[in-house]
Amino acid sequence: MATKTEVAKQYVEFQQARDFDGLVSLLADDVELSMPMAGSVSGKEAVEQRLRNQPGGDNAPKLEWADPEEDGDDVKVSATGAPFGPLTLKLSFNDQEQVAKINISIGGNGFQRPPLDMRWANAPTERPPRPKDLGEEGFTLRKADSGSYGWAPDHWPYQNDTPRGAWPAKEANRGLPAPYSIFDKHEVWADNAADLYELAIRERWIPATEIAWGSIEPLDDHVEAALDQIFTNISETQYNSNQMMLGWLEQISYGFHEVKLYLSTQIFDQARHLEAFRKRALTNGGGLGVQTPGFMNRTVYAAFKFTELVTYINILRGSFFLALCENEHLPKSEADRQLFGNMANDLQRHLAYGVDHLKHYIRHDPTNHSHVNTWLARGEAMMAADLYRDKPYREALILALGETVKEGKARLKELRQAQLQKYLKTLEAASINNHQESVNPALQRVIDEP
Amino acid sequence: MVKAETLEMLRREPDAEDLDLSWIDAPAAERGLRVTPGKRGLTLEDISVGTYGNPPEETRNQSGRMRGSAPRPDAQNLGAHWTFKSESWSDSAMMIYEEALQRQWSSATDIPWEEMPDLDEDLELAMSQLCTFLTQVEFIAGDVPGKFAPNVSADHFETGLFLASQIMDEARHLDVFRKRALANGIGLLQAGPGAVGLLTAQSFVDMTASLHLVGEGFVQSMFRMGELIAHSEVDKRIFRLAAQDESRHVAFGVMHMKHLLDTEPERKEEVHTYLDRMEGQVGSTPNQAGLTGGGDTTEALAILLGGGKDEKSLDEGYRKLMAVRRRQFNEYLHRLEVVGLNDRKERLPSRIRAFLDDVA
Repeated sequence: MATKTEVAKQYVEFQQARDFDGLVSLLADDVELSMPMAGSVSGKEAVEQRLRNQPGGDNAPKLEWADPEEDGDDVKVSATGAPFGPLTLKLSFNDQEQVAKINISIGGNGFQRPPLDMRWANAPTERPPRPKDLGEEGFTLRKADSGSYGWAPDHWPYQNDTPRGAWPAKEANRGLPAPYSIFDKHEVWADNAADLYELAIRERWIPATEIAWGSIEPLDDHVEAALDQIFTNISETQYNSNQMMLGWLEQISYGFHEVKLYLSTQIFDQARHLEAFRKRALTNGGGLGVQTPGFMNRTVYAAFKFTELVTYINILRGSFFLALCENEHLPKSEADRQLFGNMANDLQRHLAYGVDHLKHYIRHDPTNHSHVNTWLARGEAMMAADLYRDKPYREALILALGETVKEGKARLKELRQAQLQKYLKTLEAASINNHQESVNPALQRVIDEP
Repeated sequence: MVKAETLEMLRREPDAEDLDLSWIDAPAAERGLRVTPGKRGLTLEDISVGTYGNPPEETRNQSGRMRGSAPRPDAQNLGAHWTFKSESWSDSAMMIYEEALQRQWSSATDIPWEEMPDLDEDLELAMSQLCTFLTQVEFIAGDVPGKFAPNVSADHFETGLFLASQIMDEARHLDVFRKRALANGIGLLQAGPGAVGLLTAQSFVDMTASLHLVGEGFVQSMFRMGELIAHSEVDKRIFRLAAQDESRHVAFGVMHMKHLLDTEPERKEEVHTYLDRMEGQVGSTPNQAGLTGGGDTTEALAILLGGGKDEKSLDEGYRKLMAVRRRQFNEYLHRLEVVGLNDRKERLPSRIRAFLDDVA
């Protein structure tokens, strides 16, 4: 006669092979089965039924069973591999060594934990210094990412979400390769990304409660309508920028976490811009105006490369909006000044990332300069198309900037010049010099004759 | 509405001959709104009035025109936006977005890093391993919603705003758990298979089922038991703040799914299939197995929960881990009941039903 341990071993083998006839052959006629998730049943026929119809069926997870251990008159076998914790199978026997009771437990009294492993604790990663003298800015990313943790390689080698500095899982245990397509640093990198991320968090603001909404006084209807048209333009374009920045995150591999983190702040800023200016448009007797022609929006959607996207959103659109926000004639109340001022502050960071990224991109390979020029030309043409065709926006700027149409037109010209200069200076900072000579003629025309 | 005489006066001004002013003369968008701030400031809910409220159930807006603004006949068609509100809408999006703005925190300055005590080395190792896992998976929860953001119609832009806030939160989570691993002398340890599987979501509904109802929900339950896991005030604070963020994400997902199933009940079986996949019932590795449940993370959690790696502590740690699991599954089932999937309990695999309070 087989021993209890041998019967238990056979039971496990039959269980693994899903050999239910074999399993049933080991059972006593009055066998009881207790599964905490499904209650208890007794009698060979009922138990057989339950064993054959286990939830999960053929797709039930494959468990790894330990060797059976005697436990008084019973035999216990523990199993691992269930996604939600170890299992314990406890078999009791009658005097013919037939299985009389089957108890399967998860946790509780029958729970047996797996043996200690702790191989993960031996991962040969760098031991970083403890942070000290944190100062007002606290424990920043730059301070945390010391030594090898702060070094972003030119090419990130892992296709999944392995964090930089962690010990990578063995190839077979890395799961699905992710859909990331950007593994080369020069395609996304900016040296200032980590600092801009922390700065953005320090400079966060809340439109609902940190804008002096009560300071907005009734304006002449046409001035309010003009401002609202400008706010409509801001809301729409910021949503457009926000959507596409969001969409590109899944392309950027995990090794460049500073960039992903920084972009998250830019995305959140853009959401806030949409929200804040929409609120402003609805507070003072007005409402939204007319949508944009959308040439630039379309161009942003159509960007094939991440750097191309940054060129449109951060460099071109960013420069033009920053100059708009800095214009002294637009705000008509404290709330307006706060809104434009806060947006300008956010845009400064967006420009800083764009500048640093373009510099890095061009420095990596000087021939990239020609790619940037292509994107600039394309972006400028589309920006020009929007400005040229957007009659409501043009007229709104004229009415909002001046006390008279004549003054408004003069100030619009000043604004356009300021926007162009901001853009050219931004490009210079990004090591793209003398671009004035190659500004797209259509854009130059809208600047000169707004 | 701008008075006719004002317009006439503007048109008569010097240099005004090229002004059209039809956009101001006959505005196509509703005007005359004077929304004032309420107790919580000027919120999105406050401005969701008139034609600016009531997002359309179905929209042909493919140009990115913001809800309520006037269309142009020559606007570019981006051809990328979902038509139906039910695809992405959550009644909680406005409120959650505003709450997210109010509750932003800084991993650099809102965590008392300088008060970090020296922990027993085994506990520190375990915490670093747990943080390695968390920093690995947290931004997947940023990449996934990002993937769908370009398709959210400007008529339903509140969803886009919420997604932006979630991604900001996930950035901070990647950041804070990375910093925590690097703060106390150990550093990052063993990476695992991660959570890339979540990126296989092929629709927004697939995403909210797999990411918000399952993934984020399970992480939230774990964070809410952070008092048991943490061995310092520093770690407790991290878990508290992160749990607060995760609650918003889960709430968005729950309300999105509820809206979907209320308005399109015929999609119930479709949603069940996403849950089947996440629970490991379609023959592939359960995505959720890696989330808070993988081997290395499980052991690290058990050490933290038990307070050490000696036999007694480990026994205690695994017992508490089972309590964490129990909470995760019970809260999961509760979410499913709230969204209208009352029949899910019967469809759960036995290994999950084992953890439900009223079954054991």
